[in-house]
Amino acid sequence: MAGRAEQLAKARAPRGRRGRSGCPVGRAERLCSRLLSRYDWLLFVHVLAAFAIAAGLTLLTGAMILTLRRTGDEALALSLTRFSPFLFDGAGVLVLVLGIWLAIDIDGYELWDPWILAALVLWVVIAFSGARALAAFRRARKTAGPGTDLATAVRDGRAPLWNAVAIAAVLATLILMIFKPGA
Amino acid sequence: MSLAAVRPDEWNFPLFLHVLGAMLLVGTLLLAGLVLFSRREGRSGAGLGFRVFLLGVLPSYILMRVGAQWVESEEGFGDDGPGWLGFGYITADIGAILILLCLIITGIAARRSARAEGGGGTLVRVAGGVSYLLLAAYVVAVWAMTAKPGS
Repeated sequence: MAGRAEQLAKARAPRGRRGRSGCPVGRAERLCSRLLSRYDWLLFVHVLAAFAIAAGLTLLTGAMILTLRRTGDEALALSLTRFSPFLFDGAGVLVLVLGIWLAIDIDGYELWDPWILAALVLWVVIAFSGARALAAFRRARKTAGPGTDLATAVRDGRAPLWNAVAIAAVLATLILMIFKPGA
Repeated sequence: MSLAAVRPDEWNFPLFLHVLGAMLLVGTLLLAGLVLFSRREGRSGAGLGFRVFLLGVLPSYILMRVGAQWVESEEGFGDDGPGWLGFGYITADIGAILILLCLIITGIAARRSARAEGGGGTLVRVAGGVSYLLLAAYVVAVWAMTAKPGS
């Protein structure tokens, strides 16, 4: 177990002059080690941002189900889609920036590692498909009227397809982040 | 030295299930909260909230909890696990009770709403509040699981 703990400590320690706690050597070391290392905070916010993206996608999927099943909750579905852009855009930028920061900061990871490159490509797929799904929903709201209901307009705009692509890309990214193939 | 070299391959699949369940749990809890606090043209969000809890929150919780137990058995902490693990158990187990409570509350409110008895508003708001409370607790749990303080 001691060997494993040592390995973990090494893996967690970012580059640069570090104390035993993995914090920068100097006056800030005591405070830093008390508040956990930079790596811990970066990883926490990175993971939290990933959770926010998944939450945004869950809201969008919920809105999609409510609309396509014609439950009479179209107004609620549309209100749910209003939250998704905040979760997608803000968390999307955070997850990317912090992910790159972590890849640069941690010994053993490089930005050109195949699994990290694949994750970056998947980030683009998630951003593109998520934005298309939301845009299709917004267009459907404008085009839906007396002749066309919202469900038909949403389906015509391929919102379910883009939503499914975003879900698949998020799942693939999660698999990459956990299994880290080739790392 | 990378983290991947530290974590044995056998831990990856249960960890994947655990994180996937946790992500879905957070997403469906947010969805439940928004649905329960929504104003739906004279109808309460009880029925829909109940379905979100039954078909979304509960299965996500089970996936997260089964994955957690599986990872823990692979890691073999034994009886003397680290503090962050204990915190995870506390939030998960209290969360289970609160999720079941929300299921019952929204179920009763949905029945009242269907019988047009009304009066489900307070119950619905309580369930919505509990959803947001659980969300806040799980954000702290995510911090404990990633930073692993005391490990």
